[in-house]
Amino acid sequence: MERADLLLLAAAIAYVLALLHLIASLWGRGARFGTWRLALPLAVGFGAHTIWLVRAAIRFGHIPMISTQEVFALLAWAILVYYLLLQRARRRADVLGVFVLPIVVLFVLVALVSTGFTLLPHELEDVLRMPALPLHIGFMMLAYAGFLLAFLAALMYLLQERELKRKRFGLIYRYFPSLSTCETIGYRSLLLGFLMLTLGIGTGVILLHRSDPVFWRGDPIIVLALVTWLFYLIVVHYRLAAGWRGRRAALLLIVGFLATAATFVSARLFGHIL
Amino acid sequence: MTIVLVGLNHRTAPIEVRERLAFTEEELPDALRRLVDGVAIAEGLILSTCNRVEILAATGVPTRSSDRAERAAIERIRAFLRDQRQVPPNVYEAALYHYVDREAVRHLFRVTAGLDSLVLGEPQIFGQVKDAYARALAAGTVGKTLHLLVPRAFSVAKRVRTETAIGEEAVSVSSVAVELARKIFDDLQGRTVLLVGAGKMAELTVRHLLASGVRHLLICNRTRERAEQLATQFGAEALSLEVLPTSLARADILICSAGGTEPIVRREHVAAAMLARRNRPLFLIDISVPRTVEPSVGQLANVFLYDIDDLEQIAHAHMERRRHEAARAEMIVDQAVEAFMKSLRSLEIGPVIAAFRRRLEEIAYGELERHRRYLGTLTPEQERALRHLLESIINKFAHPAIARLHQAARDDARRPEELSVVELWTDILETQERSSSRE
Repeated sequence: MERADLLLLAAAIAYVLALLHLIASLWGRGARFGTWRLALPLAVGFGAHTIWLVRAAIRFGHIPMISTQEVFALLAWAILVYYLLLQRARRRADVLGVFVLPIVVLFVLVALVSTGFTLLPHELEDVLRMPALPLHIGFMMLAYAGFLLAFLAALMYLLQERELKRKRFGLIYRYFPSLSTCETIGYRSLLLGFLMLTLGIGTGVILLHRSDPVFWRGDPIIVLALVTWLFYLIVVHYRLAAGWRGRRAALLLIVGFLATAATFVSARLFGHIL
Repeated sequence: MTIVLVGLNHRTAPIEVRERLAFTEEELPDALRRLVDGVAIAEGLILSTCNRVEILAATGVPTRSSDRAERAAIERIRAFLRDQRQVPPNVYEAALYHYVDREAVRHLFRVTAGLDSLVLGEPQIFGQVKDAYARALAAGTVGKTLHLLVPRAFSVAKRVRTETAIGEEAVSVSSVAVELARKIFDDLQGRTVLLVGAGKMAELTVRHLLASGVRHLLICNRTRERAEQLATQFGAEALSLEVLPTSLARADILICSAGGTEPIVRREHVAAAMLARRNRPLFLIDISVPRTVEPSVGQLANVFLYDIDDLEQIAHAHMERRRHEAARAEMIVDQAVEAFMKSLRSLEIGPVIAAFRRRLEEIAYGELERHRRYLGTLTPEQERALRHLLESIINKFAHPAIARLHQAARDDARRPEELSVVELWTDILETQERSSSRE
């Protein structure tokens, strides 16, 4: 680990502290979430994380989203941005952190152990200089993070709904936000994610077209991305037009996220930089 | 300074007795001033709610036997009740309880935290004690002791509220309904409630919902007149039973409390309503017996159906949890009582220590004056040196003694029949004074 990575390590530790506080308040007496004990580590961690990203960008002269390390650090950061935005927007949504923070911590840890900047294949160097690339990757990251949040909110919705239908109440009933809050978080994340995905695919198409006009046709990753986009389009459309909400919407968000995750993983596997 | 508490509550006296002893707000200032006579009682507070009438009092300066002081104070409170209330004492005397010192403190802490309430852990009592304290302050019947004691009761109650889950969940059928509505809709502002039928429980639930921010209320009844009558009462919109199926789509929360053996709300009604509602969730509360909402309605997606049994079971389970939490609350109270008794003893020992020092000074300077004639004329320097010498001797002797006295008072763990450290030293100093004045 390089010295610069200490910032990332500090961020990970701060996130773990925030997570521990959340768990402790769930476990213990009369859970009280919105305290400085949560806000402080989150602020510190987010600050360190941001500084690390900025430093990486300066050091390598490009937006830090190429190497595995950078991608995971950036992804974790994007997830956290959503969480912080949504958490402030709705009261009692803090508990979302119990799901979000482990993922954030995991991604930061992956970033910490994975290699930093590696030399890129020569043919990519041109691509790297294109202004559309950082835009493309940034949009995709934000899209993934949005869909992840939507997925988590949908999961919480389903769990809370199950308790309410079964009429047997436990920790979930007590501490999870209301169905309406879960749904709102899910829907907002979905809309943001969808917007980002649209922009990401748009810039991606421009990018590929410029770098190699023929190369991209029939590329499975691009097909997968388009399928994902179409899927979310349908979800958004039917929600607005036909009132697909509640349980069904939650299930769709879960399916959609799994598809997105598949796109992401296969993109990395096939060596795409996205 | 002895603390006594005399009173009766919902456990010891029926409502007929409690209401006859209760004090109205207007009566309180005058009653408080009458209670505190400056002889048996130096400070007082009256807590009068629909579930209890309690008088908390503190006696004045410690005397040789606080045993007598507490008896005098209790007698004084009884006499006060006899004078103030035109109620034959035999009606309520048997219901009166009285607590002294540690037990009085514990009782006050438990009451304020809602541990002595009819509905365990209910929060209203906290505000009522606060009001009672504010009135006593305004009437000028709060002194050092109550000023130390009552705010402590507030912080204990707050600790209980934050560190246990005693007040977290609803324990009555109507408040459980509101809690469930919040778990579905979050904010009830702007939601529409449809009440079918009438009844005490239904009306109570409606009131609860209105208090939680529901703005729009529809009322549907078999008889149009009854619906309209209720509608005017609540400022709602009256509907006739025929339009109920089509009106379902307008409601977010439906409370069904109709009579009759036939279900009024059928599965197909709700299914159609859900389509029209575009699957926005619908919360159905069926508190009628026999049930008037078809049970299979609960299987529909985004529909949540609860009947009276469900609500009662939830309330019951929550109550169980409260009892469990109450045990933890009692531990917090126990700790707080011990801590308070220590600070009370420190407060009490203050005047004793002052008297102790004064006594030493009196003796020292008395002796100086007595022997002055043998000293001849002293220069101002000599005079100053002499006084300095006496002060030093007093300080060197008094300092460790005072420190020990402080500690002994704080850790005082006497048995009831023994004198407290404060009483003992008050006694010693008084005896000392008497014997020296006799000389």
